[in-house]
Amino acid sequence: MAKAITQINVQKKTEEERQRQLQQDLLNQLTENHQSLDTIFDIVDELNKAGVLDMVKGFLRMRDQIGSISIEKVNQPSMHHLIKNGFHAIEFIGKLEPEKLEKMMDGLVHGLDRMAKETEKQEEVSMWKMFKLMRDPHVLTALSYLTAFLNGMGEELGTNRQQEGR
Amino acid sequence: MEEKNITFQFNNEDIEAAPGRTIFEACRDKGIFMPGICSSQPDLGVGVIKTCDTCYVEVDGELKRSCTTEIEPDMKVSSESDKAKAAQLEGMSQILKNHELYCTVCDNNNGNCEVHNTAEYLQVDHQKYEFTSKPYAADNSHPNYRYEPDQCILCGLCVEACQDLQVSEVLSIDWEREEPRVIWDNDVPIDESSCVSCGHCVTVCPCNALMEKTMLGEAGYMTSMPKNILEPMIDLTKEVEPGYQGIFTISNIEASMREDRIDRTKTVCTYCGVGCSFEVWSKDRDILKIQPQPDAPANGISTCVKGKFGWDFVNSEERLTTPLIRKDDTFVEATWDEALSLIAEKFLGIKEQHGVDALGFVASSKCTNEENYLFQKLARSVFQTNNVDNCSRYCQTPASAGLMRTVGIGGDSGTIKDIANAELVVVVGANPSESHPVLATRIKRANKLHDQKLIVADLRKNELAERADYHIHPNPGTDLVWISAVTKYMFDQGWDDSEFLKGRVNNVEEYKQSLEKFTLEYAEEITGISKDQLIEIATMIHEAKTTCILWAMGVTQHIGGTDTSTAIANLLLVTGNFGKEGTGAYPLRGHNNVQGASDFGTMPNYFPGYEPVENDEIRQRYEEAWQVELPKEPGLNNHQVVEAIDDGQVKGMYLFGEEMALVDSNINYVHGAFEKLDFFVVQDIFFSKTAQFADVVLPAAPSLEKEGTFTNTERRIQRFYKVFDPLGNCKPDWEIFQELANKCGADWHYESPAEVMDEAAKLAPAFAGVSYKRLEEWESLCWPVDENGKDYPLLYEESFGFPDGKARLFAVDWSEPYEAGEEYDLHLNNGRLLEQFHEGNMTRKSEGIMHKAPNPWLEVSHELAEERDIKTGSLVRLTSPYGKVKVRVLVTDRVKGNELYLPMNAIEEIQAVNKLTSSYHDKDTHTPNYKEMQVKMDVLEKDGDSPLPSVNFRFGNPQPHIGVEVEKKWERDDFTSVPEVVEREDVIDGKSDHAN
Repeated sequence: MAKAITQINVQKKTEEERQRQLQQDLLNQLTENHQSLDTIFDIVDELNKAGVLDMVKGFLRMRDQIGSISIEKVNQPSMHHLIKNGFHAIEFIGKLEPEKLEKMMDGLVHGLDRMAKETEKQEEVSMWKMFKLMRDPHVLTALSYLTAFLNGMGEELGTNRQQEGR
Repeated sequence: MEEKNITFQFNNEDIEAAPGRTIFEACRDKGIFMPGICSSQPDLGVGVIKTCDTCYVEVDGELKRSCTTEIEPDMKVSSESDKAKAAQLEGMSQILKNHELYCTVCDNNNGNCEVHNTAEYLQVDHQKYEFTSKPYAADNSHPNYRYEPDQCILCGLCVEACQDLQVSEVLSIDWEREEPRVIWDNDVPIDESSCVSCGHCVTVCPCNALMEKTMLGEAGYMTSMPKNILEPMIDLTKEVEPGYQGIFTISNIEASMREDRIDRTKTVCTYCGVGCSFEVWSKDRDILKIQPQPDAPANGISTCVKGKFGWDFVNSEERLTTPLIRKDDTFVEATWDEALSLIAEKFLGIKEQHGVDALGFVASSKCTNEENYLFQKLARSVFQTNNVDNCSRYCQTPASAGLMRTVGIGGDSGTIKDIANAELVVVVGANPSESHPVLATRIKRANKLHDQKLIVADLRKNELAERADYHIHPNPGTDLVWISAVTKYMFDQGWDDSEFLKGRVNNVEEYKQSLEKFTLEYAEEITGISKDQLIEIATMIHEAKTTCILWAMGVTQHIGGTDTSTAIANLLLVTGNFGKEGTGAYPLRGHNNVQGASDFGTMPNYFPGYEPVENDEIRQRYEEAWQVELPKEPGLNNHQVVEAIDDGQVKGMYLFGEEMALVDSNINYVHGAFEKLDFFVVQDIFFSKTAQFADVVLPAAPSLEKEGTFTNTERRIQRFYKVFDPLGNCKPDWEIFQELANKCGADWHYESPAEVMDEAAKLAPAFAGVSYKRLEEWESLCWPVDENGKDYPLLYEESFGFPDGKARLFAVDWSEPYEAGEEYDLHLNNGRLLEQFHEGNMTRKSEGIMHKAPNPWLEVSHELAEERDIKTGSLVRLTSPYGKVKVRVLVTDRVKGNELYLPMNAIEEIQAVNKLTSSYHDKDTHTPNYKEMQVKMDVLEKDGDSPLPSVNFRFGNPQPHIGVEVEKKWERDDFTSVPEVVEREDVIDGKSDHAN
């Protein structure tokens, strides 16, 4: 003989009960994961001693303002150049073949060594001596590489100019 | 005979494909990726849109779109030649003029963004044409999605989807204005348009121009960034633009990271019987969006407003989360143990004291096959009663009964594909556009694009009636008469399929004689349909090679509901429209699992698979499996249970997932019965009207919180996966049944629904080959399923569902509908509406839906409005011999004369249509005659607000045309075709032999 009813007595957990339940759940989790937590606490402690946490806190709290300021700073011509050049440099390195580069770099290092020694001598170099040096096979090899390099560079610059000129 | 395949050369390799395929299709079929943004939706077709221009290939030296170029023998195609690549790149560059690539901070960067993926594939490195903002603000007016013209690439996929797949015909691209954009209707804000909120446009959008609002700022790690940081950051990225390839790398990494926090879970829609399946994208307990996939067997990429945007109920604060027990006049919270112990004690007590048949069980057609299986097992094996039924008793049992009489199987004879492929579709007493929206789209599309003919017989001029080649309006409750008259006319003209009848059908002569009285004259007199119209209908059926007939509650919810369903099957048999593609009988199932609930045995006379409980051999099979003796006599159905409660025979009842107190007919009487119960258990996800009468209320879990299978109107069994954990203390229904059974001494140990299905498959031959393994992801099975997994999407190809394999014509006569009496001078029609599901317990929790359709309304014709001096907004009282309602009026031409229509989306009793309906019912199946009622109307307030807000789609102004009308784009002055550009630049760029 049940009439339709709509009253529901919701046993609202008191705030205290809810809190206690939450604490219990948390404690269970803590016990289950205590080893990893110990490590984390050590790390946190070190970070705190180093003052990192304070810094991070400040940064996070002010993230919107900082974000807005820094993006404005970054969004400037000089920054654009920096970033673009960065990209280009990375691209440049990417294009080089490692073996060739290694050979070149070895040559460069060796050349630099020799140069350093040369500067220590502090003696005048006569034209005659220069010409004599030119006949040295090592110098000749380096010079021929250099002219080949100049040749390639000139070719690329030339085509660019041609395209721009049209 | 199949035509021979054609071989052509693609990038110097031979490829074979069927003639008629385009290059794009041939490549796609071979798994070769071809860029083609506007061909990315299989449901819309390849090569129909032609706007993206990214699929160019070089064919024998010439640039052609691969999406429209049909393959030819020995054709030489290259997608990799310089020219082809230049063309593809040019196509993409033209797109990027309209679209800013800021992928990493875009909510659509989820790995499936077509624009991103195509640009990446084509190795676009720089913006060739400068991106410029369009002079339009974003349209945020719709509650569920937004349009951002600035990101719109004008591909028109959305327009195609709206015009030709959903066929609501709302979207267009206005190519004539200076800056083209997508517009709604004749360029009104989305919210004020005729948009039905189906979500097709959002689903097909290949970028972020159209997006679900629930995705915005939620999907990405950085997309919720405040505008003052985001915008300069996009500027910065553009300024330093290191080339897009670098950006793509970062965005790809970010997209992969998103996979970690966004779950994509396949589910099956829990609303109507079409059985749409799709992914739910979720983050913690939030639903980010519903993402349909082309692989979904019933719906492909289609959804309706409820499936796409109607899921807020899952996280509603009103959800039941703990068991409740009635103590005096209030419910108090209880533990599961307390609640289940009490139920066990009370039910076993009633069984002891009053006998097993003093208990009644009402199952849910919204719950899973496995749950229905367990529920009938609970009733039959634990409580020893066959008093178990489901809510298909309120809708579709007459259709099943009519089909079992004639063709032997109580289900649709084919699939939605057959409906789409039929030459003629006849819809009787159904409103698929609102009740089965996605199925209706297939009819609308076939009618609009593929010359399918459509006949609609309905009292209301619903959307399909509006589009039909032929709309007839028979007098209420007279469908059997016109259908039988058309059938007789077929015989008279010699248009019957005599060969089919001779070889495959029994009882032809007797049946033919039973049609004697159904002359055209008689039919005209009873139905009000003229002889000419009847002949026209017969001729259309005769001329069509294939006909499907669809019907729903307009047929079944009558005193003669089973007979009219039978008459439909008879007509189809006489014309040979069974057992071949594009033919058959299609009772459109109302709820997601109306089919499955009955299939899996929650019926008083059947075990799962429609095997009679009276049959000793069959019963023995179950007794052996369940190790218990089972009752032999069929039990009471829903209608009889209510009567038996009223008579004091039934004392205890267990009901789950059914709002019987609002959706059963004559609810005043039903409420009276509920009050007489000694003990009543209601299990639901909400505290429903029915739950108010309960002694114990159990909190259940909705489909997103459990696993299971549903069976759609096509007899298609589909599996869904768990998206969320059950909320609070609620539990999946199957777990509750198991726990209760075990409290009552049973010993059940189902670990998962898969095990329940295994048991059902072992016991019911119809499901012999059904297993979860065979239903993984988008796989599905249309029962019957043989042990080896073979299923039957199309029935009766070889034999009908009787022992001799032949169908049976079954003579039926017309039953006059119920008349309430002369003073009740208006006919009351009722049913569903698009936006709210049923009474609205679930959909009313969605803000977007409530914004569009918050209240029920009473449709009144212009004639009647004038006669009674009322208008839209007037408040009226309707009175029937059974009760009263008060509702506001909507004057419309969807109804005629003295016919009213009251949709059932009411959760307040005073607006509920079933206050008015009676307890009369179908004489064969006891389905209530909801559709047979007359009322009188009193005007209470002449003025008032419209019950339907002006932002409802019914007030919109659709703009029908075919597709995106790309020709208008090509006619624009500023348009240069891709081959032209390539040609021009090629000459300039150095193939020339002179210097400048």
